[in-house]
Amino acid sequence: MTARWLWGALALVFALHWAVPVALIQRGTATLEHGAQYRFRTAPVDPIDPFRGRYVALDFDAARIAVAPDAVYAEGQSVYAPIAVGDDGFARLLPPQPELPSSGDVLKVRVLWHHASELGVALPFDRYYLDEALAPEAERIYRERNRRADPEAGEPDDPRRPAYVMVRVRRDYAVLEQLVIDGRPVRELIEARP
Amino acid sequence: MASKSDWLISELPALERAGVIDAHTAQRLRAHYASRPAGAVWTRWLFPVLGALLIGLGILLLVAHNWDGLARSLRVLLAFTPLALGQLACVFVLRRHAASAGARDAAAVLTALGFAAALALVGQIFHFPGDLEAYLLSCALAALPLVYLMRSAAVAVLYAAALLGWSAAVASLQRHPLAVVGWYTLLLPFLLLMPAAWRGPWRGGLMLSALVPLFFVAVMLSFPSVPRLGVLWATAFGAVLVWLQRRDAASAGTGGDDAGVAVGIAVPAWGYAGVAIASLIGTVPEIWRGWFWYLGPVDAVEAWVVVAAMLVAVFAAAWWALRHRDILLLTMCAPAWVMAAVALIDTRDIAVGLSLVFNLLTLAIGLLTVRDGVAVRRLDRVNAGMLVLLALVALRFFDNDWSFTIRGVAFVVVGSGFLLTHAWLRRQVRA
Repeated sequence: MTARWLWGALALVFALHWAVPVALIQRGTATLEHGAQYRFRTAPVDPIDPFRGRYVALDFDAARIAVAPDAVYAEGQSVYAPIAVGDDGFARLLPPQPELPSSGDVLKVRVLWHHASELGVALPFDRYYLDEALAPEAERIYRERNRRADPEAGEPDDPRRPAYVMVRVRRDYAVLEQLVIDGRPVRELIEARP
Repeated sequence: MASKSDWLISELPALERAGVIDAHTAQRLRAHYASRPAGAVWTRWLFPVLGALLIGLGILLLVAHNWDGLARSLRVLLAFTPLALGQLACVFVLRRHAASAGARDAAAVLTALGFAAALALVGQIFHFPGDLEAYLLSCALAALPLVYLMRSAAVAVLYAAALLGWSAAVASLQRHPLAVVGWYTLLLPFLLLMPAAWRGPWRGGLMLSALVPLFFVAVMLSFPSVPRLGVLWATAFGAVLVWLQRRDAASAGTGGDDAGVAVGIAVPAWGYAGVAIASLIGTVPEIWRGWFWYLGPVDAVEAWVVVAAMLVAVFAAAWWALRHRDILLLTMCAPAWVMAAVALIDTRDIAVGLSLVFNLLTLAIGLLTVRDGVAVRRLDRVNAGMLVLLALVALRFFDNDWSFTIRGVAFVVVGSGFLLTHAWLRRQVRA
């Protein structure tokens, strides 16, 4: 007969199996509901993640942070970068600190490289998931609307349109809310196409 | 093809006529094998596990598709469905007292993959931040209790595979060999204290065939990028694996034959391969001229601790070999010692001498393996020894400035010698 302790242990393990993703959902939804909203400029490309389907990979202007030339950062180190909002309304990151600051919204970022007075970091939100048919379309729309002007072809004006993500941040936890291209959510743009 | 038991039953009349067994024994043997369920043992285990694995992966792929048309709550429900099904399967299997190992493995695999799918999909549905290493480590840790509670060898392999992925993902940023070894150590109680849960010619063999290289590569990936450190790790780890097999065979009284003993064939096979390949690498002088240590013990503390621990185990293996007069094992420990002895010095001036030492060691390993194979009448071991010798000869031809003609003739002559020797050894082994 199967021992009683085995059933107890199994119940505990099964409960933990549910608790981990449920805790993720709770933390994420709380951030979406109560977190402050920021906009980060982005430039997407479209890879395939074998574990999680297609997504638009995101690269950010904010991922390159100006730091003091004598600042010391180790590759792979996790640090906390305070968020500031510029005059253009977009978020940028201030020089990161090794410890969580006592107040204000921060992003927990990982140091990728450090060269002179510039620091390259990986932001916690680096992908925006879409239907596998929509992700390449989003990428195509972005490229179409984000190309540089070609004066020889009679294009004097810069045709580029801004692309950014809206992110909710609650202290040091960030959840990506929306990918916006040319002022419209990417899903809306795709659905509006013929 | 008839199974071994079919063959034995067909031989019984002849054995009875020859007086080897009496009629009563023959009858008991017939009754014994008639009561055994039909079908090979491995099919009863392998197919349920493969089935569960394929179903799990299929579900993973299906749900990986973003269902934009569905409400978020429905997508969350679907994300948790594989996990719920797996857990229900575990309960069902455990309630059946006579549940087979295959059923236990299948239910546990489904649960482990269900958790992995749920975690990935929740992140995808809500666009939560996450990194690959944290995801893989979470999946591994969620699977670990199932190894013990469900006594599942298949989930042990999944756990080890997830840890390998984690080690590879972490290695690009940070390297923690001690953490890698620590996580793998959590499987030791399963291997040591629950042998009935995994031993068996197919199940145990497949599990060990996978676990050994997964552990080896995961640790290797966690080391700094210093080639000699990797080669030293390979030869030390290989020697310890060979020791495990020979100690096991000695205690089982099989005279060096590994059939039927605990570690099976997979463990020594990886061990012989590790030592032989590392030793062959040592025979090339350029290795000792160019591959310097850029990271000593101070710069890569954790990697050195792991290697040092393995070298201690190699010392124990050599001590055991001395006490049991096991010359082959003693010789297989030697490459690790030589590499450890010159690990921290500039070897450019002694490169030729070192390559000569490794030539001699590799030659000795090959010859002693052949001798060992003949002694225990194992043709596969004889072939393994000959393969080492062949690789040594081939390497020597490649790193000399001989003309193609001379090398071609030499290959033909040596190859013919091998064929003749093999034919002679084959007769010796079967005699």
